[in-house]
Amino acid sequence: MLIYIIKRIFLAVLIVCVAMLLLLSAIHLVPGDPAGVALGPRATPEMREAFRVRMGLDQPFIIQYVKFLANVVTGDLGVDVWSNKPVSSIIGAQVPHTLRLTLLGLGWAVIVGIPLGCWSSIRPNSWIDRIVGLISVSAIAVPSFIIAVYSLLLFTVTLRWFPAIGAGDKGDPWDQFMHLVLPSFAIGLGWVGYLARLVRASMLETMGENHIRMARAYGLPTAKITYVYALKLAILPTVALLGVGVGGLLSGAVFAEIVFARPGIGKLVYDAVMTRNYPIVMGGVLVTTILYAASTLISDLITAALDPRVRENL
Amino acid sequence: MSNFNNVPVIDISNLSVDFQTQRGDVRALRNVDLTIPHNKTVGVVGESGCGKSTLINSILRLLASNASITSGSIRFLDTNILEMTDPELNDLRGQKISMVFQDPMTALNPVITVGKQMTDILFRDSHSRNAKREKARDMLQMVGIPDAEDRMNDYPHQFSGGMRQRICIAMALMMNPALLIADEPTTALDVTLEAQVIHLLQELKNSFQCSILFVSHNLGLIAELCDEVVVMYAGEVVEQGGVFDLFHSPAHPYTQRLLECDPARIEKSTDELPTISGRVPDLIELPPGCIFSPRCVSKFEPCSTQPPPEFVVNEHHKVRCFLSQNG
Ligand SMILES: Nc1ncnc2c1ncn2[C@@H]1O[C@H](COP(=O)(O)OP(=O)(O)OP(=O)(O)O)[C@@H](O)[C@H]1O
Ligand SMILES: [Mg+2]
Repeated sequence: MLIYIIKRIFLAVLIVCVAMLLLLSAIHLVPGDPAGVALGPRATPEMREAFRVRMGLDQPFIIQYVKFLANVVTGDLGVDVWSNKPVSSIIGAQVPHTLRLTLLGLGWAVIVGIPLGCWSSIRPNSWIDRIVGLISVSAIAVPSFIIAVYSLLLFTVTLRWFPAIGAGDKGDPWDQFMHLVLPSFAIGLGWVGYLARLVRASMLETMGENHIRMARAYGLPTAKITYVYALKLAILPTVALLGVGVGGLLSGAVFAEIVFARPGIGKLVYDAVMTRNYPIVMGGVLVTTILYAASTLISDLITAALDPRVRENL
Repeated sequence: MSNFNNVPVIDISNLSVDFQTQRGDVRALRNVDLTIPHNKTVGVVGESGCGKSTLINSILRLLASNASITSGSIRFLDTNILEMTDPELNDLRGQKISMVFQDPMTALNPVITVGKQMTDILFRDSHSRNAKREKARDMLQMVGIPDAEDRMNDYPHQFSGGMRQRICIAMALMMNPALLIADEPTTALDVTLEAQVIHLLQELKNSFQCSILFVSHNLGLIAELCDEVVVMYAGEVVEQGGVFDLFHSPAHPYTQRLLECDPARIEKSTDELPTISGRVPDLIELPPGCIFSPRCVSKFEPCSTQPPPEFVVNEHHKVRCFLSQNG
């Protein structure tokens, strides 16, 4: 088990390294001189040269990559092109916002999606099942920016239930939570639908298995059969999907931060791309990649904890 | 229970079960009668698809959702199972009647430890967790699982097929049921394991005061284990009687063929097994007369036009065949 965890962490690190390699090459392949774009048309060649040296852009690609990784290990992500503040502290200030948004989006999916799926699997083709099915498919089909914009219109402009813009008052957790409701709903709603469909399908499959019939033959209470004997198995594909799905939620968070004008990695990176602030872009992508790698790691560990057969083959 | 001793544990009469399918209604069981007396072992034998599992699933009302019971009653002691409410049914399941399923490889939950699955059966008891675990351990020891104490923490995939089947049997005995149903408990096992499981059932039969309904398509096992035999063909009981009677003087041509086909009873060694020519009839469009008549070598004039009633060979031995019409 311990060896497995170490192996998985190693794999996660590898994922991050490869992602950064891809990102760095993408930056190099983009037409235009970063120094020129960053400093504007009126900068002198000397100023551009100085900029390149300062950012390490004069060195060969591979050296840049290794240096970047080496700096990352020591926690040094470089400095902001404009303000000269360390990138790590700028990003560090934004991570909690994005993390909260993503986790709450995930929360919607798990807390609403899984029970909905269980519910509709108990009596397949009943009216509950049909209504849940209709809602789930619509939730999947409607793009989240539409949900974001319309929920803003409905709940903020018309009904005035939720605040519109920003992350809320720093010292006031309730206000912060109220600011999170709509954006997390916008990014989580599609996942509510996905999970409801997936859980329903795997519950139905599991419920038809022999061991469930056996549990019935022993007269075990229906709730125990549904939520322990069946769900513990039926949840496995969902856990695997969510591990990858956090990646989708993270990219959903990026645009939700823009639509709702919330602080966060997404907003930060978006602005940085607009101004060719490469250290920020690199740092932001690095952090999201780490979050993504961590979430797949966690989902694999949960799977191993739930399924002894997986544990066995580690 | 002593006052019930002359009432059979299970008394099935006139049971018919249909399955609704796209092609039409599959008439899987038709007018089945069967009784299981106290402390007796009754064997049900028949080819694959003749309705053995349907019959026993009806007893615990575990039929698939497309099934409907169109006639008959199943009495457990003095109550009709088919009229039971859900709480009554749950009281019956596992506690008074327990079941060992056909396939041990899929009968246990793969993500719950064997010990937990066993103690969960005792959810009605108020005993402590430890007492329940002790009981589970004793049962595992009794069915011959070594290191029972430690192995209770193992998951089903860590046991061999034979061990899993023995675990299923141990589970079935957790509540001291009045009736143990075993649906082809050895079909998925190799010959050595089969012998072990049969031996185990024989021991249990002697040490536990319970009736057993043993389903198999293996006549040898039935002869070894059972007191009475019920022969099924295409959803009907064609012959039933005491083991000795039925094996020594089978009255139905189908039973006779079955006995001839049993490899263990063939004396001359030949390369060819005798077979019954023709196929089991389609259960959606039934032939008008005797269900076996299309394949029967001894059929005569009434067989293809009218269904044979039940003829009594002797007090316990009954057969549905016109050949037995005149005694
Ligand atoms: N859910 C179902 N829907 C439609 N037909 C079914 C269903 N279950 C069983 N049948 C049909 O009912 C008949 C009896 O099936 P059953 O499973 O009782 O046979 P069996 O005697 O147990 O066979 P085996 O020895 O292979 O286990 C078969 O013709 C089968 O195709
Ligand atoms: Mg069967």
